[in-house]
Amino acid sequence: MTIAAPVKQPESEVDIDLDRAWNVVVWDDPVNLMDYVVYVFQKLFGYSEEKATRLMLEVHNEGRSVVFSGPREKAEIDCHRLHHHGLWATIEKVE
Amino acid sequence: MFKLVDSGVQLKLPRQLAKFLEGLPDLLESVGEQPGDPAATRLQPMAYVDDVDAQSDYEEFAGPQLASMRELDRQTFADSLADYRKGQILTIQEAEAWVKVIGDARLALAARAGINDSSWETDTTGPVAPIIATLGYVQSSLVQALSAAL
Repeated sequence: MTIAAPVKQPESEVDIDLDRAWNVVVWDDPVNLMDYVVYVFQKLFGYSEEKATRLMLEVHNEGRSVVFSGPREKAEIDCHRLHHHGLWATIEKVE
Repeated sequence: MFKLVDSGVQLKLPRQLAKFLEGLPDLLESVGEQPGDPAATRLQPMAYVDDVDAQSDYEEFAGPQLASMRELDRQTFADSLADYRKGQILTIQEAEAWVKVIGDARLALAARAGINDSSWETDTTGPVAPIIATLGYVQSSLVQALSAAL
């Protein structure tokens, strides 16, 4: 039994544009705990503790942080997962 | 209060606190029952704030899913708390339901109390702030245990 090796698709400029088209933004709220937000970023996105903490502090200090950029479908799934964890998240098109 | 062990997350809650936590699923089930409940707005925030059509499409797919996932979280929480005993061990999946239910309860209470800035943390006059703070203490302990499992 063998497993087929994944075939790498050639990247094009169009692919790159589509992949960077949508941002998932997490907004500051006065109730969620800082350590909980770090935990959610690590769990949902697989970010290191250092990166998750940096993003959490950006949310806390600047009011918002882009936690994911990519295709719209993935952005909607991530936004949905963040809502399921009680975070205030929105989706916006990259200008 | 919560400790990561080989088989999951071990619980050591004061009996009175465990009893108090039993009320959280009912609190969350009441969200949205009254028209204009601010807790419903907070727990189901808009994804597209500037695009009515996109928001409508998003709600159509995400709204029912979010409701059923939260219902499962509440049920998991209630079932694992029903036979609470000191030293009980939650699976990671159960502990993840707990951390969301406790967090959602804090958000719902805060929304209904009109809390929209961090001044609530030093508010000693109202009855809600100490409850949100206590639940925060419980949630933080659980986050520490779950973070160690990542």
